[in-house]
Amino acid sequence: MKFAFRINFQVNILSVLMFLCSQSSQVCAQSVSIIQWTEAESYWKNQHPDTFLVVNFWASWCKPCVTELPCFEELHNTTFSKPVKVLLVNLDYVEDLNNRVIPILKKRNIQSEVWLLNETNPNQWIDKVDKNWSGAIPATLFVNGRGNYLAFKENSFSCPELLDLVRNLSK
Amino acid sequence: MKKSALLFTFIISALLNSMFAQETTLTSGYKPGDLAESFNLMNVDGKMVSPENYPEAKGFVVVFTCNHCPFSIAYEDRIIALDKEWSTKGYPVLALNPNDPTIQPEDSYENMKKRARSKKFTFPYLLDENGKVASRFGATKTPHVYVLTKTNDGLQVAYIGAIDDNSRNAGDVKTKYLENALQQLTAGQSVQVPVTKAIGCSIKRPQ
Repeated sequence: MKFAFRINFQVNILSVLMFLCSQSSQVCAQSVSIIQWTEAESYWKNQHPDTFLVVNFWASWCKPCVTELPCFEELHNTTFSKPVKVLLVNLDYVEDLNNRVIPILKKRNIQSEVWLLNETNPNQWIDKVDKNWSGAIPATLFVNGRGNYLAFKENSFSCPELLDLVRNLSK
Repeated sequence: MKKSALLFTFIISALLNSMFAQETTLTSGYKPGDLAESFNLMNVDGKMVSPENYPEAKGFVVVFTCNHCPFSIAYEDRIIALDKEWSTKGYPVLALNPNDPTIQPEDSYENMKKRARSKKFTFPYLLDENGKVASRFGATKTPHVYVLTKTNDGLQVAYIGAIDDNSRNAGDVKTKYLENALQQLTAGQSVQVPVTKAIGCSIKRPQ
């Protein structure tokens, strides 16, 4: 049952990607998937048991978010005791993907996986990330391989702060 | 001796750390039902404005907003419409900009004046210097709305959160959270959904 759902979900993402690739080669190169909340939540709750997941919520219009993107990118170049996966969840409007989001990713050469969360009513999902999240970004969720939410931070990070936190949480 | 002194420092710093950590994880600011402290802030016309200047009002729609944030901009016309409707029903809008212009230059007082003029704001647009009022309220983002009602004890917080459920398109709004709250208040009922959440631009406080 779970397996079937996973396949279904992957096909969904894949079809979105294929559609985007046919629309614009830029999107294809940066692999921005357009997803909905239920898909996103089930993805990070059904992680590979060995993976530590860092989910950063950001938007092109959020200056501190864009400033700290390279810090999340740096996590790729660091060795931790467990494989660390970075997921950049973009909260721009879907119509701004090509003109606002993609240029930022290209300019900063972002290699992390990027999803655009295409939901109109944040009141339905903000509390599911964390009860104390007011909705301000940047905000980051840290999930272990069992799908447990280990920490949630509604603030920006310096690169060393982020590295230290991930090092401690992923132990 | 040296070792025990070191240990002592370590314990004290660990204690302080844990106290600090606890303080920052606690959600601070007002909750529905709390009494809000009044304020007196500079409007874009240079005059000071306070809730006390409105003896006739039943309450206020306090909106933390700013010039630069796309969400604030997306809601400007809706805020103007809300003020036009609800100021006549006793709940005028008071807009406050809490952002530090040294971090976000578009949010300077001069630009507030320009924005208020070009959008023909029907409500005061107040400079919340250093985000002091926003901090007291517990506002974290723009736009962030607080509905206050006048009671015998003072200004009571009746609603905190979003204006409606769709920032992107006013035409696609299904639930008008803020207006529902105002309707319930003016009908003498308690607010059914007193807290809602929305994505917004974080308030830029002095560092």
